[in-house]
Amino acid sequence: MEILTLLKADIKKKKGTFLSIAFLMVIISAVMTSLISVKDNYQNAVKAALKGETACDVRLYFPADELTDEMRSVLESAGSVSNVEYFDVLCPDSLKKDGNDNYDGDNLQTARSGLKFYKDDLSGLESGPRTIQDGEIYIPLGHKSAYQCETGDKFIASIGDRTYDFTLKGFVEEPMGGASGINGSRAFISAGDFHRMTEECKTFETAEKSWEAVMVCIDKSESYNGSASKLARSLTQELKEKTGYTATGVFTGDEAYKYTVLTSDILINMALVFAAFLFVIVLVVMSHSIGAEIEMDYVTIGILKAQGFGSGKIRALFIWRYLLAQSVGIIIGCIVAVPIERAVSKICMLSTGIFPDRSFSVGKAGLLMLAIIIICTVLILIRTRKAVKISPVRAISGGRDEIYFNSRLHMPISKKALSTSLALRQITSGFGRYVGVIMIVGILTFFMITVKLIGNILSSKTMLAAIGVHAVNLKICSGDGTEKSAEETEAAIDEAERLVDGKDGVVYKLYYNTVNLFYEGDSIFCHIYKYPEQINSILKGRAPRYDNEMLITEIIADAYDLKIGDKMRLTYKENEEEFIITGFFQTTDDVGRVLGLSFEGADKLGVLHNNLMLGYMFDDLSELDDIKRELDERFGGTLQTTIYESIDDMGGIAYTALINALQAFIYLFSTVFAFIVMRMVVSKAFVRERTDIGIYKAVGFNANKLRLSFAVRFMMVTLVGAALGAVLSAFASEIVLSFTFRIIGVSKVFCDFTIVTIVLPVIFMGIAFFVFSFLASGKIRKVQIRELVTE
Amino acid sequence: MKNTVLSAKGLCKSFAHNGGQAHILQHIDFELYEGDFTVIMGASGSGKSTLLYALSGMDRATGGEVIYGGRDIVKLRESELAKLRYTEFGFIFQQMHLVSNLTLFENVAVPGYLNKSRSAADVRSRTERLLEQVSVSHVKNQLPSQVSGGEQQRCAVARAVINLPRILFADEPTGALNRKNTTGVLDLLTGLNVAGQSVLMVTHDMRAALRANRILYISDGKMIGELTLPPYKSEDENSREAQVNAWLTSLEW
Repeated sequence: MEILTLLKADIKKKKGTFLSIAFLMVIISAVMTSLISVKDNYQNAVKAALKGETACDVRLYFPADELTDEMRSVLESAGSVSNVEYFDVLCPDSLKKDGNDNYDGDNLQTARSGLKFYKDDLSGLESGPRTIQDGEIYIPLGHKSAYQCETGDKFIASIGDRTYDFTLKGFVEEPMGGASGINGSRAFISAGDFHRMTEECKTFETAEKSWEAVMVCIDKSESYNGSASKLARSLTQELKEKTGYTATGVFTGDEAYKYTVLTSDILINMALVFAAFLFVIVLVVMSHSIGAEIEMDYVTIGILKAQGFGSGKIRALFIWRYLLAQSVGIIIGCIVAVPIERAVSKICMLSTGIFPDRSFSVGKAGLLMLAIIIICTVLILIRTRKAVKISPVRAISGGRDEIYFNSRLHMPISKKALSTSLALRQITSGFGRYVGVIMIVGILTFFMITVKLIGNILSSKTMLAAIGVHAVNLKICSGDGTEKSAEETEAAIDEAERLVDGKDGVVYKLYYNTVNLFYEGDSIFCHIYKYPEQINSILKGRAPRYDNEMLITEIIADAYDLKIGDKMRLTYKENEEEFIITGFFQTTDDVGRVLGLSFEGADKLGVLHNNLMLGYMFDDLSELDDIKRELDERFGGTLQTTIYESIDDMGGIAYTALINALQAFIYLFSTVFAFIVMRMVVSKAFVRERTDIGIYKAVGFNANKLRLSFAVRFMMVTLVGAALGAVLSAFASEIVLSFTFRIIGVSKVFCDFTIVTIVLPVIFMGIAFFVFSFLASGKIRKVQIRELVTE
Repeated sequence: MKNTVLSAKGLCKSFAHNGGQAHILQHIDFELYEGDFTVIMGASGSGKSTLLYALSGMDRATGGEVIYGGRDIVKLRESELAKLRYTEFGFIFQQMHLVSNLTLFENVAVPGYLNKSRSAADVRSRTERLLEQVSVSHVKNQLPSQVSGGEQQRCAVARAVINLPRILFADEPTGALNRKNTTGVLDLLTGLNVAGQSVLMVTHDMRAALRANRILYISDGKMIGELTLPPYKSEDENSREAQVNAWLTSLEW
């Protein structure tokens, strides 16, 4: 009961702190619980969709004329297979969105049973199937934002010398390959159009060219314990052994899952890392707040002790008050999380193409919040140890004297700059008091700079590279229709490389070749890097350093049961070489079935350098046109130079909605967060200095002069803290970001430190603290000199 | 006929209390004469400190007027009151209230720096003189926490007179001091008064009250008695004490 009474009084007296802690917890819990729910929802939805009628464990593609009854029999009789279905597919020469060359559809199909259609307003899925009319086309939702497609857009399919026009009627949920991050796509047309096109293309089919294909959907048998990739591999090998033919395309449900959730996972994880940063700041602020409160309540604590309150009860008071504030914040945060979850889910839906679940992850969120509460309780217990040491007699007999020291700096108090010199004296003589503030400002500045860096990373090249998109501003490759040999082209690209290397503002370059290599009879796409150390998307291990080293994707590792340190014997034409796997990397090319070699490694295999691409990322795009002009003048006949100014141009449009949303989210919350923290810190300082303010008023200082001095002091302290934060950031941001990004699957980040990146947060902190302390010090007007009276 | 430097008419001060109003000062009329050493006495809670703060402009009265220099200071703006504090009035608190991170010298000099009519050099030399006068020049570069209570209070006296105030207000200036330091501070105040300084002091210490040439008695927020005495002389202390004691007894102190 006595605790309850004191608790009520304490909350009333320190309602500013109570509300601030509660508000900070609203932010933390809202961010964390909503993101955890979003992640669970889209992951569950993708998993459920992959178990649906339109998905399967393994999807194989065959040219229609190659899939014989014998091959069908091999597939159907395999013991590892429970169900095999065949679907006719048309593979046009191109399927383009009118006015957007980026859209490149792979194949056309009719709507099969179980295909889910989105409602026109995308608020959900239709309960039943839609009948696709002639001339209409439906595409997966994931491609809507990826290629900026809207209902009513015109699509053109080309087969031979004929073209077929379609109007985009709507979007479908396509669990296998319908995500924005997966290259190539299926589109759905009416049975009438499909039949007509099939019949027409038969008329100009040749031995070399066929547009008809069969998509075989295979489900694992219940007794098969291996992964879908292993099943696909064993089936294709069995086909090859028994019939001499194999599938031209392989895609598994596991791969579909990985690439469907890849972008959302990375960005949501990043937001969670950001929330973890916020939580660390809350802990520092709480620690500072508890320390300051014990100092201010020194006498009160002594009195309570004299009345018989034990240290345990006094610490319990702190714990209950802070936990109550946190609990209030968490409850409100969980309520606020609901609309946030809805909004973020909607954005993720555009990336995954799958309509998400709409449930709240109560269990996970509860556990997380419990962990937060436990960590906070431990912190409070540690910080309130001071209260145990307070002796009632000493506290009551005048409290703890303020300890000031003669500053070594000993700046004199000057008449001319009275406010500033008094502010400086306040800092230098009681420096210990400002250490907490400096720490908080330092961490906030570090945080602001890091957030800015995260923003830079998200907004451009590194993020795309991390996801596996080769993001460059300037692309140099062999020109179309050039008569030059591979050697001549390479020599020209090397010369172009030397030319561009000499230009200012190059952030990084990427020089690679592509080729298909064979491993255990399977053809696998391979990236060959001239500078393997520039690969950003290494998830585990390291880039190849020697000519016998290589990288693989996790999908390849899973399919062939490989790990780092294993060896792979690769074949190119008649050459065969053994390579050691040094790491796993990530790329969206060929839905992740990719190998990575160095130029030296590929040379051992005798791979021709005939598919070279040299890409550059610049931090300043203003010179790009001049560079392109220079390259065109010198290598016009041999090389083709392309400029990509925005992420969208680089093929990253698929990610922009998510990235923009995440950036806005981070900036908004960090600004609100910084303001609340500042308010708390300044208010605490004000309460502590109330007596001094009264004295200054009594000797003739007016409120404005005191407010100015107060604000100047905080600006000075802030600038010291901010400078330390900036120095810390210069040394540690890249390390911290690299570490955290690695955890979430991004192996290498480039931190673009510029004057703006560093100075802007420092100035922001200085000005914000000045303004906040000036506003908070408005209470100086209310400080009555009679508060100094001892009755 | 003495000049009135400060006067109050119908002065009231009320506080909100338990949903009602507590009337601390009730229609007090008062005059402070130039060159006087006036003491206000009263029991604890009688309102004497509240009266002092209202008269000195440190706190605003809720009713009535306080006239200084022809102006009602109750109606002055905050900035005008602040100027009044560093030009016309000096104030000494019971608990000294020196700024703890300024040296004694700086504590005295800072209010002087506020006064725009005086140069920094002038303020510094006057500070030196005052610290010498109050016998704390040997610790002038020490922080308040490094010197005794008596030294702190003497420094507070020096601070209060740095701007040559017309009126020196003192709220129980000896309340936190031992006997020796009390005498020292009272001697200082007496010396200042002898030199022409008007002093208005609140106290319930008989020895402090003996320094006054005019004693007012306040009870329940009302001025109920006044005693006029000749200027203080140490050799008359016993007879003064008997006179004041008798007067206070008559007021049921």
